[in-house]
Amino acid sequence: MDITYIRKLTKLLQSSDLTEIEVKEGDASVRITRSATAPLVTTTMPAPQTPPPSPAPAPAAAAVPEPAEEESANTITSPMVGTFYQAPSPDADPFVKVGDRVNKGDTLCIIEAMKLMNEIEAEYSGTVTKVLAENAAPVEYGQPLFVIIPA
Amino acid sequence: MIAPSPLHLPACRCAWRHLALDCVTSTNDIALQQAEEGAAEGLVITARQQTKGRGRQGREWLAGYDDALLMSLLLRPDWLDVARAPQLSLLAAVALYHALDDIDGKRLKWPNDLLVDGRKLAGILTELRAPIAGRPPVVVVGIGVNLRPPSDGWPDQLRHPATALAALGVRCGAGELMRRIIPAFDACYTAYRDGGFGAIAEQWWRAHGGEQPVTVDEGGRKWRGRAVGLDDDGALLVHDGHGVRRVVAADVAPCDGEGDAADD
Repeated sequence: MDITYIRKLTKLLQSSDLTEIEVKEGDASVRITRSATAPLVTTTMPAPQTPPPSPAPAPAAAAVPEPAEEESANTITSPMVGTFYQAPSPDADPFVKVGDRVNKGDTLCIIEAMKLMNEIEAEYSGTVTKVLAENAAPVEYGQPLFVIIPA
Repeated sequence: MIAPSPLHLPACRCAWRHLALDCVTSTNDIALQQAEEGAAEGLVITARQQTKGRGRQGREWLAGYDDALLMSLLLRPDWLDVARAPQLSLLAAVALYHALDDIDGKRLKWPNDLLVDGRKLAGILTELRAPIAGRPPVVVVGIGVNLRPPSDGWPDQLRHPATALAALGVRCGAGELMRRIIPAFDACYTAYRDGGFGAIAEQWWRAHGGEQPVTVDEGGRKWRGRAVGLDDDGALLVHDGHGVRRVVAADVAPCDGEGDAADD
């Protein structure tokens, strides 16, 4: 099942009041659930089609690889589809760079969609260790933008 | 700061309160500041002049003293998913369009400029602060409407030709205009909360004038095509001759024909 399709489903879920979507396509299935904030994607890949002999068939496996735990726990993701801006205007310095210390409430970036400017603020103090999106590039809902390791 | 006074607009669901200021950096700044300090939904900030009025990409928004209605509306839509919030940007344009229903030759330019005979009469800049620790989102809708042209003419550095109500023969002061726009906004906002974006999107598309050739400038990447619809989230769907592309953040301008759009 291709990733853009899953992204579409995520968007659909996210723009609706549903809390769960499950789609089966042949042997592959994807189930997307959401808690209060971000959707969670669980995919299952088809089990082998050979008739099961005596041993148990291969179990379905989760397909989303985990990045380093500390990183994933401290990744700031985009709350909406839009364009990512590292600076308030094309000629200005970026709000933050790798290595910067940020305080809670500091502006990290702007996500623009339909001329709505969503200024993303740091929810905790820490050090920016990664900037994962490119200036003026489109970003998807839930796409990682920064890694900020708490101070 | 002085306390806002109730606007007493009987048909409105929201209790709109007005704070009239003289000169500010931008009315959006004041509205966001007031939100930080706990102001409730329905606060309206107006000013007679801005020193740092702004548009997309930190561009200047220019108006002389008393030359424009400069107004920001503070919203706290705790029922709205942040990912859907950009729809409010188009909603504001629909409200503005309805509020000025006596003006001929007007149409909306994606996402929310109001043009009259191709000249910009009004612009909208919406700003959002996402929830931190469970607080509902704060949305500030900044609306600028030109009331009269600058005494020394429109400046040369404007990206698009401009117009003003006085130049269109409409005599309407800032206060009266505010009292026309807010009930129109209130009606759209309530309809959106209760019924979703569908009806607003339809009204927007009609006000846009339906399908038409456009030029698109996405941060310096320029191309042209035909606007063919509005996506569910408010993105403009533009057919570029090969397929339909979603436009989410760009300067879009109507052009005369598919073939003769300026490429600069």
